[in-house]
Amino acid sequence: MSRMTRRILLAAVSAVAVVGAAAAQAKTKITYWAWTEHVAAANAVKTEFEKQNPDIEVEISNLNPFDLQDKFLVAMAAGVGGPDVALILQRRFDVYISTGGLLETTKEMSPLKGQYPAAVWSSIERDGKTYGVPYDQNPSALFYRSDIFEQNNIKVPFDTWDDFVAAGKVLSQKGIFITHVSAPSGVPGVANLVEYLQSRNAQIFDDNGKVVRNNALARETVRFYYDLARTHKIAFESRNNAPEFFQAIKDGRIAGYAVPSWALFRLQKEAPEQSGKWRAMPWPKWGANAPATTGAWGGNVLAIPKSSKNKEAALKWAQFIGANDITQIRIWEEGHLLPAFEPALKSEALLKGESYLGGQSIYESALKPRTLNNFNYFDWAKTEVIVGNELDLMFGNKKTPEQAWDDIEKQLISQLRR
Amino acid sequence: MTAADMLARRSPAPWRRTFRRALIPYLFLAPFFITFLAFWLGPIIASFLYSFTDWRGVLDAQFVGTANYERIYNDPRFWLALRNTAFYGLVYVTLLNVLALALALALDSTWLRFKNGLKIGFFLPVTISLVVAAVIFEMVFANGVGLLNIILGALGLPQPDWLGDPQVAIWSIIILRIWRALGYYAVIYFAGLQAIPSDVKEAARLDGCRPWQVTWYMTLPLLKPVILFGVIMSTIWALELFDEPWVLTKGGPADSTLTIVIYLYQAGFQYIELGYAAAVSYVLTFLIVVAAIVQKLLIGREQQ
Repeated sequence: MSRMTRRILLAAVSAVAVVGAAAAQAKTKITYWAWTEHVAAANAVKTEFEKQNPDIEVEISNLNPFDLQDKFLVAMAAGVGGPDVALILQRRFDVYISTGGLLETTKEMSPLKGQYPAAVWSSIERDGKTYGVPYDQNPSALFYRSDIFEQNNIKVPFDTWDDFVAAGKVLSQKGIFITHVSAPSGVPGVANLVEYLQSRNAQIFDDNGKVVRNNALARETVRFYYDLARTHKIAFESRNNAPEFFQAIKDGRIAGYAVPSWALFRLQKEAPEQSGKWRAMPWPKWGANAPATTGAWGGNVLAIPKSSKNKEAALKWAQFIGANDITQIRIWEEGHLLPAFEPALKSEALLKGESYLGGQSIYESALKPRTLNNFNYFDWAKTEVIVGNELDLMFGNKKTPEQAWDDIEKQLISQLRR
Repeated sequence: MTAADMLARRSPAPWRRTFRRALIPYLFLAPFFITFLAFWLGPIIASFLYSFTDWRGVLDAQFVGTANYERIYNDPRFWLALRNTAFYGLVYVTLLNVLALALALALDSTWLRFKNGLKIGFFLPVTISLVVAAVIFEMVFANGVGLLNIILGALGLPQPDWLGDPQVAIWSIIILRIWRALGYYAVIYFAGLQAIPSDVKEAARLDGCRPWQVTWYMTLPLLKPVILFGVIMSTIWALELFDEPWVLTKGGPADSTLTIVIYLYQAGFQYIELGYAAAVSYVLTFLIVVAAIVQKLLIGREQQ
C-alpha cells in the first residue's frame, strides 16, 4: 500500500469516526423522574422506546414520591435543574398548572380525549387547554382475607357499606378489624378519606373550583369514616404506612384493606407468607339502589416543564408511556397500576390471575364492576393541610365529625377564597 | 542618559509599586468575595425584595407592599408554628446542653472507665444520615409494637402513641434530635474542658475544694465561652428545626410539630408562594438574631 493510499484510507476512517461521534453526540438525552414501581415499569419499556426513537436516550431517576413533587415544583420555578418529564400526583397537578410553568399539550392530546376516563382527563384540563399526559388511575377496591371471612361465615362480595359494617362487627368480636382508617391523618391520610368522598360523589369543590357550601353529603361521609373507627370500632387506626399497621396485617388482626390495586404490590412485600389467602371485591355501594361507583387513592400524570430543552423528545416519551396500550399494559404488569389509557383496559393481560389472590384477577373481580367517579382537585396542597388537621382534631376527640367538616368548609372558603 | 535615569525608567513608579502590593491580597481574596456576592449576598438581597411581592416562580412578580408581612401577622398557623418552635427550642437547648455538659464532665473525669468506647458510642449518631435515623426511630416510636413502648410496657409504665398523640409527638422529635446531636456537643464541651489548665483545678483541690466545688466554682465559669457557643449554636439549629419533624410527622398530628421552617417550606415549595415564603424567612432571621443577642447578653455579660 503506497503512502498516498494509506493517507487516503486513514483520512476516510477518521472521517467515518468523526461522523459517527457526531451522530452519537446528536442523540437527545431526556431525564424522567418517577418512583419505585413506576421506575420498574419505565425501565421495562425504555429499550423499546429507544429502539423506536434511536435519536433519543432516556435517563430514569428513582426519587421519593413526595420529594419529587416538591423538587419538580422548585425546578420549574427556577427554570433549571428539573427533568424533562416527571410523574406528578394527580391530586396536586392543579398547583403545577397554576404556576404557568408546564408545557401545553392541547394539540397533541386533545385528539385522544375520548381514550381516557373523564375522572382522569379532568385533572390535566384547565380552561379548555391540556397540560401533560395522563398516566394511571387508581380506583379503589376492597381486599380481604378469604380464610378469615370463611371461618366467620361472612358472605362476599358485599353489596353495600351496611353489609360491610355488619361483617366488621362480627369480626370485631374476635378482635379482628375489617379495615384500616388513617388516624391520625395529617396530610398523608387525607387520600384515605377522599376514597370514600369520591366514591359517593361528595365533592369538596364544584366544577368551577368553588367550595361546595353546606356540604351535607361530605359531612355525612366524614361521620361514616369516623364511625368505622370510633363508633363501630371495626377499623384499625394508625398513621398511613405506619409499622404498626403492617405488623397488624402480619398478625392477622386486620382482615381487610380498602385501597386501590397497588395494595397487591404492598401486601406481597410486607406479608409474603399470606399468599393465596387474600382476595379482592368491588368497592361497596352507598345503598342498595346507589350507583356502582368507586373512588381513588392516587393516580398520576406525566408533566413536562416549559423549561425543558428537549420538549419534543419529552412529549414523545410521555405519550409513549401514557398514551400507548402496550406500554400501559406493562405498567399494570410491573406495578398493578391501572392504565389511564382505555384501549389498554381491553387487554387479556388484565384478566390474568394473581397467585397472591388465589388466582383471582383484580381487574375482573374488583375494578371492572365499578365506575370511577370524577373528583375536583383545586389548591390541593393547602386543602390537604386543612383537611388533615381537622381530621386529627376529630380523631383527637376535640371535635365531632360534623364540627370538623364545618370548620374544613369555613377554612377552605376563607383561606382559598374559593 | 545616565545609568540612574535608565534604572528609573525600567522600574515602576513608587505609587505603582505600592498599588500593586496593596492589590495582591485583594486578588487572592477576590474568589471568595465574588462567590459571596453571587451566592450569598445576591440571594439575601433578592429574597428581601421578593418578600414584598407575590412571586410564584414562573410568572412575573407583582409588588404587594407589606401584604406578606401582614398576612404572617394575621395567620394563626404562623403563631402556632412559632409557639411550637419556641417550646421545642427551650426544652431542646436546655436538655441538650445540660446532658452534653454532664457527659463531657464524665468523660473528663478520672473515675470513668471505657472512655473511648463511650465517646464512639455517643458520637456515632452524628454520623448516621437522617433517613436512616428516621427509619430506626419510626420503629422505636411505633405505636404498640415499637421498642420504646415494649420497654415502657415491661416496666409497667404508660405507652403513649409517640407519633400519633399531639401532646406527645413534639417529645418524640426532641428525643430524636438530642440523640443525634448529643455526641457532637459533648465533643465541643470535652474540648473546652481539655483546654482548662489542670494546675488551676489542682490548686483549688490543694486549697481544700471538694470535687463538686471545683466543678461549680472553677470549671464551669472557665467554660463559659464554650457554653455560650453551645447554647447559641443549638438555639440557631432549634429555630431552624425541619428535618426530623418533616420526616417523622410532616408537622402533625394537628400541627403539633409544625415548626416555622416547615411552615416556610410549605408556603415556598408546596404552595409555591415564594414571595410569602421569603417574608417568613426574614421573620425567622430576625428571631434568630434576637435570640442570639439575648443569649449573648445573659450568658456572655460576665465574660465581657
